[in-house]
Amino acid sequence: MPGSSKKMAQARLPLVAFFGALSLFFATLEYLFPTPPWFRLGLANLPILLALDFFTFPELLLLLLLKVIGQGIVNGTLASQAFLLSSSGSLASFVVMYMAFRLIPRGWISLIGLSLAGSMASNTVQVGLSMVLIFGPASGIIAPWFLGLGTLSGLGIGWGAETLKRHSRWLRRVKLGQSS
Amino acid sequence: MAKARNSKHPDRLDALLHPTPRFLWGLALLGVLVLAPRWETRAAVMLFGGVLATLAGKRISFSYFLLLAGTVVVFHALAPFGKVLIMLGNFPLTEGALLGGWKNGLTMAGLVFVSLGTISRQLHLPGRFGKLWALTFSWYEQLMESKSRVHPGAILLSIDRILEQHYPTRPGSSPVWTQEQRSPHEPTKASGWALVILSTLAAVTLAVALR
Repeated sequence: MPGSSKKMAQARLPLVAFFGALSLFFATLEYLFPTPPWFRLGLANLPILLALDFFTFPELLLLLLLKVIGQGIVNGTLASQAFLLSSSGSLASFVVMYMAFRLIPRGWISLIGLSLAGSMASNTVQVGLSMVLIFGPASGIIAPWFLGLGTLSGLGIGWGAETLKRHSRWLRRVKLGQSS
Repeated sequence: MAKARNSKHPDRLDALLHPTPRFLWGLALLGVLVLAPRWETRAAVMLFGGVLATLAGKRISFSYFLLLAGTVVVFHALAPFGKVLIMLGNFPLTEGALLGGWKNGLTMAGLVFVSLGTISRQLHLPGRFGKLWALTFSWYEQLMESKSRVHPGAILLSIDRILEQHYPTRPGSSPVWTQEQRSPHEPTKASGWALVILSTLAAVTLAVALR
């Protein structure tokens, strides 16, 4: 990597850390909304959705790592099956969202579509893992409910991200700062 | 499931144990929990984990975990395996399925309890990633202090203001990313080491004796 671009990448690391903090912050705000105990809305994914337009692939992976490990430490679930389910779901969601973001031409898919794709990937992986690791194959009967709720929350988070992207002055200025 | 500690529920283990040995202790207990062949050992470690989580200031709901463990048992029972205990109409309730579900449920609750009790927010991660994590955590704490300023009626505007405050982007301003240096954590006390060694030995002994 040439010296100048390496310096730029170094300068962007604090912004990656800030987006990581934002993910943890949104994860905490999630408790403001009433949900069944076994279901998470996934608000922590909102900053990841917004970050797709800001960072390179390695930076996004770093952000994902900060999010999942951070949630594990802050919630104290780092060494539990909850962490395994959450990190696997986050990784699946990220891979699908990133591929859709890169492969589908701009303007053809909004953040709502990306979020929907990500939440379906995340929930499918989590249902599959919980069937294998926790509840057994018979738990497949609750999969449609889980996936249905996941689809609704994916739509909601996508809508929130799209609204923030369009109206947030802070995001616009960060974007301008990135491109200048 | 469990709520984070607050000033009313201080982390009592923090005074005894440095976060790193505390984390390693948790891993040792989790090893026993996962590898123990008998459910009795897993139940003991799970209960001990519950005590640790409570001492760590986490308010855990045992009824929630009983319900969750019950759900695991029910789902396992739907896939018959082993000796038939009773016939419920045409459906055989089997010993293997019930025991498998019970062990899985205990393990699941134990993993969460031990994890909640032994993972401290002060846990230091090594290397450059550790530095970046420290910066992230510092910003997270600053954002959390602003949580009360999130207004549901004007959620976007209030979040935008909070973001601008902590990561200024207006012309002439720049974000500050020299996180406050955390004061080093006190080393593990003798009583802390005694707790770690005795409890790990007890768990291993129980697992070996009951195998």
